Amino acid sequence: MSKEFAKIITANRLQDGAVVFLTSEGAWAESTQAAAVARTPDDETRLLTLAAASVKACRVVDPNAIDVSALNTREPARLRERIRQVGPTVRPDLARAI
Amino acid sequence: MYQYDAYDQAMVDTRVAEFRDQVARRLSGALSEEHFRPLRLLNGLYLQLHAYMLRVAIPYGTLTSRQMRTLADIAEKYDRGYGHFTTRQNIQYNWIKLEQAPDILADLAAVQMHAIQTSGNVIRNVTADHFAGVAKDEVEDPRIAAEIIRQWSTFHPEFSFLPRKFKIAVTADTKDRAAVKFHDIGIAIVKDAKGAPAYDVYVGGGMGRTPFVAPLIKSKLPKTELLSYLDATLRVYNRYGRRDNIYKARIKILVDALGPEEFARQVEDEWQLTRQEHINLPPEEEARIRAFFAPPAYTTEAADLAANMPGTNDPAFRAWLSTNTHAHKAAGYSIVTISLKPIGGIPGDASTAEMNRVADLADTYSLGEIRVTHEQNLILPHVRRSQLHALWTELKTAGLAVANAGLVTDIIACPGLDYCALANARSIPIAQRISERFADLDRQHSVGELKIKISGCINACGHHHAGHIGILGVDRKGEEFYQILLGGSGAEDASIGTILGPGFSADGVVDAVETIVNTYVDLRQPGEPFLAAVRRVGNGPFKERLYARV
Ligand code: SF4
Repeated sequence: MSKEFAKIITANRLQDGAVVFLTSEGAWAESTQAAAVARTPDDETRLLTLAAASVKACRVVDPNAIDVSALNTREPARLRERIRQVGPTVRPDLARAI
Repeated sequence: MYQYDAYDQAMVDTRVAEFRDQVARRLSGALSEEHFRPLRLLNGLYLQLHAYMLRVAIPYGTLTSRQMRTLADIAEKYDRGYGHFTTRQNIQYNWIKLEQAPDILADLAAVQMHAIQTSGNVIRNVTADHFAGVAKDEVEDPRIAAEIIRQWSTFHPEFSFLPRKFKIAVTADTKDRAAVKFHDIGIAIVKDAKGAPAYDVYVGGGMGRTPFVAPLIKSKLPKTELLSYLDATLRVYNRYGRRDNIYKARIKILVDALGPEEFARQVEDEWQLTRQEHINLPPEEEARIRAFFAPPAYTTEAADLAANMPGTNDPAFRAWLSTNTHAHKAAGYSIVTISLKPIGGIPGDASTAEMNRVADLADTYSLGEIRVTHEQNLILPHVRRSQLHALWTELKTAGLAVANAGLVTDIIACPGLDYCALANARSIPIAQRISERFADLDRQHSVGELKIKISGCINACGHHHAGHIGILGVDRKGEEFYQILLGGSGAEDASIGTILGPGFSADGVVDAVETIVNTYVDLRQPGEPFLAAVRRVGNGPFKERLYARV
């Protein structure tokens, strides 16, 4: 069975480097809660185009699409991205709200 | 220690102003990320997983208490109340805002510090033995050579676009605490036939994907010719180092490809030219720099010279004395290691309060001086023996008196996947769990010297190749996995560890380390340290015990 397609766009905010996620309005949020979910490769391309405009406008750097769980789209698939989302696992006191 | 003159200060101040302008232009959009990235990297500013990371140079690991307080202030004002001391005697801040980076650099410049050349394909911060100037048996203070190299290499126009980054370390003791043979250039200060200091130059060492122990390229180089010889070495590398393949671009690959003899011959040829070019330092300039490293005025009070010192009836103090104090050049003094490896803690991390506390203790007990070790600990280099107990008591109150220097819980760990954008796996939690497993101090002391070093990827910032037990984090189909290496050493008997066998899960690796330690305890001969036992018996007995149970 092929994996269900579900991706969100993440980047780092230019000014402070904070991890951010692209919303469907083209804004950037610190939580995955408001992130726009691409369900098809076309969606992904459209969101990445939005993100590229943000790069041009000096709002973010290094945008890329990451896999999220199809059932819980607030949860990135890879550990690396889950650590980016929450913060270092060794400093739970600094954890960000998901 | 070295004090900036007006030129040094102007150079650093100018750089801060230049970077302030570059940041402003980046934020306004006048500079693209593509153009800005190399500029920020030249100022030690990386973009990591969670934010910008600033790497601040601590030349040869020496700090004044005032500088340490500034580092503490920066952690408080611009970061989240802590910093991370690295395996190259630097400090990294993990939560830096780009817009504030120029202010941080200005704060650093005010105490004669900077982040220049802590990244990029340039000659990086020069490291040295953290016991420099106080080690009992050293030939001379290696920081003099390190400072000369620092000045020569800073903004060196010819060496600003090397094929790859370039790291130099200097030691002057037969015991190598600076891992010189794992550097692009390692310099060991030795005595020549007449008993005068000279340089043994090792070239082409390194860790990473392709580890090498550096071969000796030049024996007993006369001191006056240091810079012309380094220049010649860098020129050969700059000319022939591979720029086409990032994995083959370090000087170690060139030395290996040519062979050490041929590489040495080419450097020798080049050197005959550079020797004529007045690159060597004039003697009066050497003397000027040397004067900054003159030994401080040590006390000669009878109480310090007496063999018996207060407090030795306390076993906890005695345990700390045995691991965390070391012989000093001056009678009546000791060198003290402040372990940044509390049980279950994050190796190398120090909070603002801890940094300030260490600065205060340095003022009270160590003539205001502190060292940073590549093993991610701090050193108070000048402690009167009569005051060791008082110092230990204060360290204990601050939670900084862990008696584990050189033992199984004194683990080197790189930031790994908790912070680093290049990581495959986490390093810190593995260090924490091993530390907790061996928390019992009596057990640690009975196991004896054992260096565990953990890297979160093949780049080997955690020096896993040089660990008595090395641990390398890998990504296996999205899962963190850990390979174990045995028998590495970063000391004078440098060696590269060899992989034991199939890797382990995050949980399994802690058990595996314990099995290795238990195997060693069972097979060691009386007084035989871990590394010696591994070298005697090979990996076989460890493999058998580890993999038999699978
Ligand atoms: S070894 Fe790898 S994971 Fe660790 S700090 Fe270096 S680059 Fe990052």
